Amino acid sequence: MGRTGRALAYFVLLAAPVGCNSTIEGGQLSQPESSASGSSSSGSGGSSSTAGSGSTGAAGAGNAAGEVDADAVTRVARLTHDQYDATVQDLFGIADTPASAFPPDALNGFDFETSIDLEVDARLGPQYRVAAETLAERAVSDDEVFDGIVPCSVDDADCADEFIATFGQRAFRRPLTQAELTAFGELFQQGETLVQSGDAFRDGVRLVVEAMLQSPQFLYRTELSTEEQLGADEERTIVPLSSWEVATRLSYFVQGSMPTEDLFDRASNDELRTADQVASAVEALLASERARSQLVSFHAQAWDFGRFSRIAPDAAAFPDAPAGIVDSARASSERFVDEVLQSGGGLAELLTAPYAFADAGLAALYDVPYEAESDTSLVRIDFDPGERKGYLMQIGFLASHAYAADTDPIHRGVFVVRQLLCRDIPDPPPGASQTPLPETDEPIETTREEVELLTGQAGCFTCHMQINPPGFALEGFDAVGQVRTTENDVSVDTSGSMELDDVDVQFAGPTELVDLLATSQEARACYASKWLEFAYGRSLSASDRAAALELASSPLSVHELVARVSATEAFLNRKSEVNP
Amino acid sequence: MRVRHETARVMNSRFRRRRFLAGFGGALVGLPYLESLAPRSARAQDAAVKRFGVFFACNGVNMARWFPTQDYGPLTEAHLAGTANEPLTALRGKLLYPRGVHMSPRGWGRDGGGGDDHGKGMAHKLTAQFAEDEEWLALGPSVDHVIAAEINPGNEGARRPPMNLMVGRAGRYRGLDFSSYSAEATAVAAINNPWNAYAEFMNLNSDDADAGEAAARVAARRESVLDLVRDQFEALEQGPLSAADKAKLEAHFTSIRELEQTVTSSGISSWDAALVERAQPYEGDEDTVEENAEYAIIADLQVDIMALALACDYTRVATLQFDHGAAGPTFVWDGMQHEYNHHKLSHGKVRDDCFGDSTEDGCEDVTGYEDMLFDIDLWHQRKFARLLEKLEGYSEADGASVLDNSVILYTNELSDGKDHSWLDLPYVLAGSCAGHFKQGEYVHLGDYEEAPHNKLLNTIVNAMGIPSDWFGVPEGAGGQTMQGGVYDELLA
Repeated sequence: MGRTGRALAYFVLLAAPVGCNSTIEGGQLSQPESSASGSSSSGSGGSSSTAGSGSTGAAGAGNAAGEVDADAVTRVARLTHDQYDATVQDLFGIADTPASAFPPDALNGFDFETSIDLEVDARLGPQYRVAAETLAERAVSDDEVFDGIVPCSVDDADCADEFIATFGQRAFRRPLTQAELTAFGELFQQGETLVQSGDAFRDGVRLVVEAMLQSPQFLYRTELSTEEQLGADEERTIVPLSSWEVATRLSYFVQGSMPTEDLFDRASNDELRTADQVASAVEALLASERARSQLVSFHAQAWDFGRFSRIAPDAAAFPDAPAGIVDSARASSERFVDEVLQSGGGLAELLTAPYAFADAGLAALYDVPYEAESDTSLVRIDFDPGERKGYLMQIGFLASHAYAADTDPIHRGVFVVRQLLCRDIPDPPPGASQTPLPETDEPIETTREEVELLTGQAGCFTCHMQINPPGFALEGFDAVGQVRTTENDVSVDTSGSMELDDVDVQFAGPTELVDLLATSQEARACYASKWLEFAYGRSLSASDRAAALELASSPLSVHELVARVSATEAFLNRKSEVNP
Repeated sequence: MRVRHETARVMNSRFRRRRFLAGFGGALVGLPYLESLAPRSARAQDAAVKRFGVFFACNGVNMARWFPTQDYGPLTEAHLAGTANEPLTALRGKLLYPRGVHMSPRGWGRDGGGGDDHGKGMAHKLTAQFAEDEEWLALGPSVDHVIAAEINPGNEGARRPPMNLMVGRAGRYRGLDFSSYSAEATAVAAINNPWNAYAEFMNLNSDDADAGEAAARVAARRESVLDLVRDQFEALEQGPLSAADKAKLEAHFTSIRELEQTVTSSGISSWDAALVERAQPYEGDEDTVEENAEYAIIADLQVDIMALALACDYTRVATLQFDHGAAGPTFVWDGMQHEYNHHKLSHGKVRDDCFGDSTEDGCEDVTGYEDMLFDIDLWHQRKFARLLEKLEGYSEADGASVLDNSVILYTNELSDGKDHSWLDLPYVLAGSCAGHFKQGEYVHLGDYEEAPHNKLLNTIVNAMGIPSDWFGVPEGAGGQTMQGGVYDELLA
């Protein structure tokens, strides 16, 4: 499962309201004597950061306004634990996960698992040594692994040097310098006396592997180019990355691991400099299994699939809810994303494709026939596109944004405005949950009526006028995602209007809503900006946000988007440190 | 505690260890074992080695049934009878219950800073620092990291960090997840996997006489490897790097440059075969350790591992956090069969975003939630008692128990969970810290906002042998009720 799962998220309340032009009175917290004291802390969607407002943590490059100072972007990005595992797997041809023993990283606010600002604390350094020594021992005691990393016959006089150069280039993701070749060569020679296993060659290999895997050249992605040129805007100077550095960035972005042989070839021919060259390389990369799961993993992070773990339908209200609904929701959502991407889809398809994947339990909730070899097999279910289409209308999303028996239009709406539109909607102010329902003579029979009444009050509505409509549009699906046309014998009202691309738009129900979202500039720009954050491993600067807008100018398949992200100026270059 | 093997069986015991320690993918994790064969530093025999432990529970307690019930003064059986602390009755002679301490900086917006009530509760408790607004990360180091930096095994500037453990879902994201910080806004994600926690030190000390020769060879090998790695760091740092990047690399190299893992030994072996066997199933596991059903099992394991880590002197500072703020497991063990998780019960509601008395909007009360909370508190105090009993069971060379040389702090994120209160916090200090603290007493330190917790943390820093006038947010920079100095009322 790796570390990509998101935590259970709770609504967290800020001490002071910001955004939505809110002017809530009494926003500060109350006195201890009052029974309605303090603020609640519960339920929320993921992080509250949106494009450009995420923090980068202590060592990050963000300044007070949350803007990334491009000149302070690190040149040494530590491998994440997932990247470490994938890298050693590819390096040695093994399936182990040594990073599972490493102490976890505190992400300090960054939304994705690709942060370039991770550090090595006092716990992790020695763990790297243990892992290096263990892997080195494995490399010389396991013949299959040994043969995979030693490209020559041990009897050849040059084999030691050849091994060092070949393995070294793969481990450091660039050719070794002459000084490095000499130094590792000398270390190799010491193997006989220092290890004394009786096999001098293997002893040398072991020492060299131990040293290389503890070197910062392995543990960090280093970007040391300094040659400057003028950028596209002809105002700032940029520093193009070398082909080797581009290969590394590309491979960790697209497939979460070290460069493939193909990428290494292109790098050594210096064929990773132009947008076309990069696009060609990306196309080749996208075919791999690693890339396929990496692209799905982006969505799991961006859309917080970890929230599926809180699906807990009330047994009385939903006796048919399957026991493994949490796992099913995750598996089916990942499968859906994978299918859309493999068939050349993009954001529009993710939001509007009229099918889903279901095992026996989910199929029952979807109320469709199911036939497969085993009840856990995921089968594609095609829907009537007038009734259900896209990720927002699948059980995974609907049930994870719901209470045990009731729907949760507020959080469904929050997901749309924060995660799909990247709007800066703040958390509710302290005491929001305690807001009593206003007196009314109207009968309150549906969730929509109740939420409208509750959030229509002064101080609430400025934000909720944005949050509620998309949530209400999904009221035609109950707390486990089943279709419902009535609630408490009252017809469900899924109509609404919202501002989209600075224009008021109307919709009669969710299918119209998702069509509008799918073609909106806002949603495309938001999606693109999340991809940029994921690719860059840091928060976005103003010029990054401009790049996101450019990427949003037309509908793109995810594969296209990945290629274009890889070709952005910020991806292929560094900004110059010497810039005013 | 391991009985020393006879020389003839030394080889067998060593190979048994190697076989046991199948590392990832079946590869033998033999090397931490060898690491322990480095020459030991002599430890001063005259001074007792003091330990500091933290037992961190969340979501507050049932205030009506937690504190000692009788008058301030010597602790009697009656003080703890019927309270959540009853499991500690037999140990009361080594306990100190300070009463009336409040969190400083304060909650409920009185002192500002980031974080909601839970966020402040988590961020402030061990740091006495404000939290920043975005992610609620504390703006300074926690007391465990401050103390470990001064007294943990290792050389100056490169001492072992404290052992930060937890039970439950790994906290990695926002301030709510963390209680420990190594520096400003640098949270430390605690280890929730008992195998990973124990693997760090299970082979720490060995009495094997044959090991000397192998040790020398390993040390020489590592020296050569480290020389080359050092050159790699130096070469990289000479490149076009910013000051921040250089500092990052420096910190990394500092963490590995001390080859001779300072092996101090209290005489207590780090190897406990039964403990290894219990922890083994979690090797390489990331998911099972977070399951609700495993919570109680892992709690016992983490307690035992923490006790052993302190006893064998792998670390002199260790913390154990029980899940985290506004969360917590659903207690379905030890006679409990709850339907709702800890946080919901702390509010007595069926949803996490309900509180106050409203039953509108799906916010039904959970009938009998106060009793459920009491059961949860009782369970935590049983775990606390387990920790203390373990520490009491390890004897130092001079005959004192490890507990006697320690101060183990029970602390909670909140006091009254329903109100999210930070006043009148539940605290226990266990162990005299080598005669520094009073024992067996219930002590009144203040009322309302008279006794700040930053002073309590400073009292502990001083107890651990580190002179300190103040702990937390610097004087005058906020935190209106904070105080310097120590609580003399707690000292022996």
